[in-house]
Amino acid sequence: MRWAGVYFDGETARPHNVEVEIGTGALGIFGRSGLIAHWGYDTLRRVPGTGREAGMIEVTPSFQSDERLQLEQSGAVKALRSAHPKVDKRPPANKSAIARALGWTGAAIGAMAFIVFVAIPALAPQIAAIIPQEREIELGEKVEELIARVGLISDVCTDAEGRAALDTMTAKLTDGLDLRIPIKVDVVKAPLINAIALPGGRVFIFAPLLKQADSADEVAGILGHEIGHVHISHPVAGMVRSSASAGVIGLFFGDFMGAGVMAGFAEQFMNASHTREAEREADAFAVERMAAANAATKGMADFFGRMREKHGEGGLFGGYMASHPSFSEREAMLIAASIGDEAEPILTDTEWKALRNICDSSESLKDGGETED
Amino acid sequence: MTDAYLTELSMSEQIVPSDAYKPRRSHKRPPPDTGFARVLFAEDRQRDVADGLQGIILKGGILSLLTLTIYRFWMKTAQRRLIWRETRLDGDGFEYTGTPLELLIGSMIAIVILAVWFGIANLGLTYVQLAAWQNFDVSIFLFPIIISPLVAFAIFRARRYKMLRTKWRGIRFGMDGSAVKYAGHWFLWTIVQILSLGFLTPHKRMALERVMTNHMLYGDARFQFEPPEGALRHLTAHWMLPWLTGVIVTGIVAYVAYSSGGLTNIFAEFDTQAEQTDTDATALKLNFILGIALIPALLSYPFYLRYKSREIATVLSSRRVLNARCESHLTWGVTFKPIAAYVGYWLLLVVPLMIALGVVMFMAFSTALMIDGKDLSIFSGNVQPQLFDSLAAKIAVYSGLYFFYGGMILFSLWLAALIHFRRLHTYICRGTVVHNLASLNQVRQRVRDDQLESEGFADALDIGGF
Repeated sequence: MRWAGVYFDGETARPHNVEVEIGTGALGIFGRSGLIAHWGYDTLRRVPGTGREAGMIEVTPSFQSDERLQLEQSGAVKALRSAHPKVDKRPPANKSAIARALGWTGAAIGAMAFIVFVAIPALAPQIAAIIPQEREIELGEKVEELIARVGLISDVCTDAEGRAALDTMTAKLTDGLDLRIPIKVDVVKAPLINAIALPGGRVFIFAPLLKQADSADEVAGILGHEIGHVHISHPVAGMVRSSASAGVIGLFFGDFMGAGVMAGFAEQFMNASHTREAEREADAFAVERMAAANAATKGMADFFGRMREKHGEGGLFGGYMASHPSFSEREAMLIAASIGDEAEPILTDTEWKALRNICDSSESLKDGGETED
Repeated sequence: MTDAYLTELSMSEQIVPSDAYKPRRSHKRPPPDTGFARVLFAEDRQRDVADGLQGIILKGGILSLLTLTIYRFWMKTAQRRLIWRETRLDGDGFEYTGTPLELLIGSMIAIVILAVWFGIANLGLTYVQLAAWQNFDVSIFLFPIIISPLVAFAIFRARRYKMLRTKWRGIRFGMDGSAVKYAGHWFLWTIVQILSLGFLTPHKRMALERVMTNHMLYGDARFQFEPPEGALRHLTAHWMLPWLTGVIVTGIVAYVAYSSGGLTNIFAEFDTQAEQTDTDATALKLNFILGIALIPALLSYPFYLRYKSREIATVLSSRRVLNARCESHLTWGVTFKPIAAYVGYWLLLVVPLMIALGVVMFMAFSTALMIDGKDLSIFSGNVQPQLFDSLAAKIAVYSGLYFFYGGMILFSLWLAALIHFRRLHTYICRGTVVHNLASLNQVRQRVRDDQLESEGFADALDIGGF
């Protein structure tokens, strides 16, 4: 039997009303003057995207062809599907397109990795160096406000004797050093064991860290490390790097809605790996300053040793491991750099006690929490 | 299976006797001599098409979120295939023949080319931001300027790709011409537009459409851009309402602020504030002015939508291929109703959705707290993944965050495609007919076009659309 159809010959846009005969191995298209076309089922397929409507289908003799045939009777559609069940098969994967896609994706990832991991990290310190000091201080204040708002730090501890001890320690560590930017150190109440350096010469020692430390030398090592960050302008270079990187990473997510959010997530994960080198530089700086202050680095090594025993080497990614050299590496480096017996404690016992209790003029702090730096 | 087919076959044979064939045009194919042909989008099966589109958005959106957005090329292709197919001219749907891999390759090529450019631009932007304008998000202004030479280029390439990957009645559309030249036109016209304080916006739009349309092809026939008599005058008249609203409201706001001394006082206030906190007063002032500028922008927006509907209609009515000519009459509602629906659905759904997603995020956060044995005291409004020690806890928090933002992204995709675009496209099609369609019967297939990279630049530069 014959069905009604509309045929487009792929050469002109003129529609042809035709009759269609659905055979067992092929389909015949008949016009007024007889057979127009004869399409074998081996390559005959439904045009992708058509056929959503019940009782309608559009087919092509092959995916390379411009010829089209529309069948608009449900009987015809059923007859065709039963004679040729493979009519709905999708176009086969285009192997050369897949290869090209993989090649270009690799090139795109390579280009982006070069910019994000090599070019921007190399240029960020240069950019950081030409940012005026008063702007950097302003920036530090903004970051401080932000981390206070999210609860990473709270009140500054103000006990007078503790303060004096902290100033002594800072002075000894920076003695004879031509600092890039004036340094302002404070102990703050916080939920974590940590110490951080912000842009603008701002250093915060988190109070729980003082409780975890066994000696003033341990704290001095960590303070020296943070002063190193400030002096080498790591914090502001880090900000330049992450802000510029996020803009580039955003390219990858294209016009997908929320590309900015995706780029932000990606940047957070990538950020950690940049910082290892900075941590090593800061450690080296700390060792140098401790030596200049005639203090022992053994304390700092002990501290990392204890942290390793307590916490292991740290999390897998996005955690301590990704952003810092391992505890054991740092411990080993500090032991190797130890200046030995002629060292003096950086603070007297009284000063160390005062520093340790710098926050005690108000309520006491609980211990515990994460260890960083 | 075979039995069922046979039964159905025999049933249908009863309905259509073997000798029943008459040249048959279905209900959707009007007789050729009614004078004009309709363009319709899913008119008799809106529900079905909406469901199809929704399925693509939800599946595509989720897979995109799970594949670092790589799946977006597949989603976009599926969306286009459906939209093209369901847009019917004289009863025959358009066919989208582009493939996801082409989109992917185009996008990756664009990344390779743009990565260096973006790296330098972003470093510069960051320097300006940190060194000069910390209180003011400079990227709002500077970023569009940085990418502006590329935007017009990308728009042209995106149109060309879509034309080359569209068929109707088996005949390929096409486009020739140079994207760089188009970008040149765009650049000059943008300068004119800025110098005229926006007055010549309709002139710019029509001039650029002319360049674009004259490069468009259907088979071996070229599109001609022939605006109806007085079209530009007509369009300029419609532009007056939003333009004058913008200008006058800006004037009033400026006058009130100035004459009452309000602005001077506010600026003086900023100066003291800046003095005290040792910051930059200019940034505070700029932020304030930007905030104020929202007033005229918001007030003129509804009138802008009215103009936009006329602009779309005029552009469509200016297109001719051989003797076949578009005619489009679009009212304010065409552009206004989709936006209103978008805002309405957003207002209706955003709060319940945020609560639902918030609950999930809170559960993830609580789980992380439990894993690390921390208590709620470390939580102060913001969810901070770095407050957690163990990998498991971090994963829990990140999953919660990802779920939350993912949910919002899906919601935006859904709003944009189903609520806004579907309506807009339906209304535009309803208001548009084609005269002398039969003249297209003479169109012949063009010889094969060269292989082309897809619209990658448009993707990378976030010039989306369908």
